[in-house]
Amino acid sequence: MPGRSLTRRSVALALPIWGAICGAGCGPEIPFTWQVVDVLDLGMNVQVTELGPLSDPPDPDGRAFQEAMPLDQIRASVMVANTEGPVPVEDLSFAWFACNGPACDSSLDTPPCPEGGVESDGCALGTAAQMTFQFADSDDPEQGLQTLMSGGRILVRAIGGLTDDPGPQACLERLESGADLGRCMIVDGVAQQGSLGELLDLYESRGGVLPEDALVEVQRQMPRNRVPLAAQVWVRRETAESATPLLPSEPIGARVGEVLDFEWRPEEADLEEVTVIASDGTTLSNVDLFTDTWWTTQRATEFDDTGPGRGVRWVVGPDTGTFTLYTVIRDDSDATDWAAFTVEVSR
Amino acid sequence: MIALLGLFLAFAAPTANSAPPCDDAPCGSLTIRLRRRGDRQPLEEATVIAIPAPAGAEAGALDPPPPLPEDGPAWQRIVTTDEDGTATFDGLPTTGARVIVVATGYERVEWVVLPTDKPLSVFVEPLDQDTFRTVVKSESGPTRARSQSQLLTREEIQTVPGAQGDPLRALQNMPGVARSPFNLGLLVLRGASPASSRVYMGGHALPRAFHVLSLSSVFPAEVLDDLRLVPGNFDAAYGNATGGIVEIDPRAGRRDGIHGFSELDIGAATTMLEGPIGKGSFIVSAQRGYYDLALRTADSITERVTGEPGGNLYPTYYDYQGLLDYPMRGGSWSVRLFGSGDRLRTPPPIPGMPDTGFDLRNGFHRVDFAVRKRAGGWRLWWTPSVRFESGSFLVRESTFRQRRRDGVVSMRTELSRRFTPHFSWLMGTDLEVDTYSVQREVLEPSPIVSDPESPRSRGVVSTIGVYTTAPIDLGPAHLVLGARGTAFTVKDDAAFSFDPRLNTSFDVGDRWVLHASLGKYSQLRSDDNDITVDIANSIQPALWYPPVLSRFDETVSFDPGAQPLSVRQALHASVGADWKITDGITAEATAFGREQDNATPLFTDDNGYVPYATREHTIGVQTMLRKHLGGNLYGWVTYTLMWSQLRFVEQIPGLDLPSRATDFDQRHNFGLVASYLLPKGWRLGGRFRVSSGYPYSPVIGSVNSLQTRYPLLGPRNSARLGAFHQLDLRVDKRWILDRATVTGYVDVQNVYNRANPDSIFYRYDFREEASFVGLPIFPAIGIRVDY
Repeated sequence: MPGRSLTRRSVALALPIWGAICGAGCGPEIPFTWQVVDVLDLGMNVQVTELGPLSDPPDPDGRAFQEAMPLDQIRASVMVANTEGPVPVEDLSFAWFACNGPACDSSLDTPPCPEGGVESDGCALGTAAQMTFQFADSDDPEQGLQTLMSGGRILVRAIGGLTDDPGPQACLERLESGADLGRCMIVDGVAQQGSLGELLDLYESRGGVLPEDALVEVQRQMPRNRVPLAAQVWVRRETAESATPLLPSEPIGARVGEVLDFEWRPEEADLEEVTVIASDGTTLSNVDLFTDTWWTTQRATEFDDTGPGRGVRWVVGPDTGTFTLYTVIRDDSDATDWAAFTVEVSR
Repeated sequence: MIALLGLFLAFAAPTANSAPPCDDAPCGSLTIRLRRRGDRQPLEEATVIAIPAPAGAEAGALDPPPPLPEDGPAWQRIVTTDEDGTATFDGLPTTGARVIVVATGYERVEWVVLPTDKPLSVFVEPLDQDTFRTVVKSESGPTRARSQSQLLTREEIQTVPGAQGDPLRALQNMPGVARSPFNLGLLVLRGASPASSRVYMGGHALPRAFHVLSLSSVFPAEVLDDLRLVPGNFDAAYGNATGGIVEIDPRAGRRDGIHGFSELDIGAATTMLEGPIGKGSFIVSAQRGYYDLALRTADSITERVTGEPGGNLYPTYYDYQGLLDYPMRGGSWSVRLFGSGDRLRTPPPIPGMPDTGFDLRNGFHRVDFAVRKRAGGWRLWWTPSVRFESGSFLVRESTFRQRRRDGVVSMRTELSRRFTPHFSWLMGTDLEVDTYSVQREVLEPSPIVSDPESPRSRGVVSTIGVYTTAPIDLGPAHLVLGARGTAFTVKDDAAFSFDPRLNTSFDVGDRWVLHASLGKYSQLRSDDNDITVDIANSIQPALWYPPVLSRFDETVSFDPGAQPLSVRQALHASVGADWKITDGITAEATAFGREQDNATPLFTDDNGYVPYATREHTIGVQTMLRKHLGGNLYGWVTYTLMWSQLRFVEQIPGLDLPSRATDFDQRHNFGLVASYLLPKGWRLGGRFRVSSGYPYSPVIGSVNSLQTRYPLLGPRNSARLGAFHQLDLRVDKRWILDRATVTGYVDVQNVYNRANPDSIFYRYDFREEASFVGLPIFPAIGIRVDY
């Protein structure tokens, strides 16, 4: 309905008129979008923690896979930041759901999965600080999550937050009744079966024959997608000629007003090249694309990630003390990792 | 003053009117034209006295005038001005005469003048500094059912604080009218959607009452004498509305010379000219809003200072009016032109960035003809009107444009007669036939965006009504029986409604009137479905508005025939009492109710279910204590208490939506308005308002889905914005010159800078309401010249 859309846009765009009039006097201070002022969910990390019998050998660099073969152990955890630093996983409690896969157990209630593009049938995985599960081997459907109807992609949803504040059950009840969720968090992540090439190889090794017109026959992708390593952050001070790597365990010092340029620098190995082999033998290669997001617990005067590269410019100040810098790195397959660094600010 | 002077002269003078000694000295004649200072209005029936000039006095004003001779003047001439304010003296000594002007309500002035062939214009200062003219109007026919109505005079409209002289925004201070967020122009009458109420100008509905973004009414206050608000139980003469109506009768121009005004204020420039033409009169006026110019300038400055382009929205609007009134035997005829144009657009795209902008235009041009005539005890009012409307909406990125053009014929005919002092009867018909055409096109087709499948559609939407009203006086009891039949058509669909209406009042003594009303009202339901719209907009960083603001700008309905016709129906009931405390002070209280069937929903789902069938249930009471215009003070105190609920009578099985507050449920609304005329041309006014916040759908939390955070809405309208209170002050200063009046005003809104919650900023994680946004203290300044 164009009229409705127009009205929305009119309302939205009328804001500058009143904003110009309003200036800064219209209400209390609004936290910046990069400012962590309370417990905040930054995303979900989903990775393979233990390879199953159907997997190839582990990653030669020792990195965790995002894509999982059937019977691999997958762990999903919510990345929760606080003003004091990352919240330990043992302080968290979530109700876990797998959405858009065939129901794992029809006796379970339909989980509160998103409506619309993702089917609401799925399964409740249970309540835990972090959840471990596996994809089922198609030869044994009872072994884990089935993905036959989902293209091998399961949306994992966690509902909860800090243990007993208010706790996953209370969060679910609030969600059901439409009440204020308070500190409840609802976080989505993706569990991805793959790689497709390995799955097809496994299928064919068991005597399966793909029909000629099957889409999956057209392309085989490998290698398996890995979780990016968010901790590869470098910092360059305004007065320094070169950047130095940061370590999550070692705080760095900074002075009010100092300009710090943080940059996430993936190693060469992180720039994964996904090879797609078409049925006619044509090979295509795609390199991972990453997005980086940054937060700080300081009321920074400038915290700008619009510049070139994967980084942020932090003009330190005005407050002194110990602050945390968070970064979340996500690739275009939704493999996500996070890291936190400590910055001690003085005058 | 005149009596005292007359007494003095009669006592002192040798004769009341004696000739000067022209035999001994040369004499000449003198014509004086008396005008009121400021607007040059002729002073009729003023007394002009000529006596010998004091010895040695030169021509000019006598300030202070010397005492009159103790033994009386040697001679005196007394002339009364005619209707043009002219007094002519013959035979005045060429050495000069002392002229004294005495007129009720004006300062006494004295001059020494010399006879001359050239008429002498004398401007006289009014004593009360009030240049507003009092116009006595007579009813044009049998009284309509107006027991529920409120009248605002032009002076009140122009000086009420906080309205900046805007007619329809001034109405928002009346009982039964909800406060509008951001001081925008919304008419929420007794809990009804603004789309359910109509504004009638000269008997024809205005296609839109407000300019874009509701920044201003589409006509200035100066083209009308007053406007009448009927928030419910309105007369059978008006249909196609289930809320309330506003009646506006354009006024006739002045015939006492050429007059006009020009005004500049913070948002618009307005000018008007009026005067006699033949035996009739004319008014021409125009208004141009210039918010767009200010915002363009702001954007330009922003770009120069920051290097970043500004992102303001550019609203442009204008309107014009041309009125010609002419007397004829037994009545009058009028020709009226009205027009309005609006444009709302986003700035040009940033080079290298996708163009996400839009460009909206709409406007109308209307010609009315009206005849009022009396013959043999009958009164006729016939007013045909032709209106051309156009609207277009361009999405610049896809170059997709929708255009709608309408040719609307509207006509109202009323025939009435007072058969006895106790019984009158009116019969009338009104019709509005709208022939519309819609065109959809892609200006620059591409592989991604192609021309629409149905590029054109045409149709007719019509409303044809027949109504009758019969006022009956039975001693202290007064009945207004009314009935209205209306046929609605949209393309090939048709529907009919019959709406009986009854308004009664009962005089209890000289000062009390009890009244009760009951009536049925019908309205064609547009495709602007206010039941399913949930405007609760989110724009970064998470700014949310209550859904009432979804009505603040009228949408362009591009294809009314795309959905089946349906008619809303409402039942209005009210009972109340009016108390005339003194001649100038009244009090009133009215309890009201409105039960509205929102009609068959326009949309059904694939299973044939109607998603919603709803009824609105509104009850409330409105009270008002009013000091009417007259003397130095006018003002009123109002309080409206109201509940407005939406009930779901049919919905998808299993959905089980509970009743909830409607978008327009403003529970409490208190207002205090006062304006006082001080000496030396000063006027001081204030407005204090307290009201409940509007309902909205709260954000209860958010979902962080793959690094995109989106809000979760709670039950619709389950929360309410915080209470609103605000003080506005207005100071007017009028300088009266001989030939013009200059008025400057400062209208300060939100004097104590209350942070009123008209919308909500949520924190970026939606976990807390971080801020409210309302208008801060805001001084509006305007200047105006009347001549």
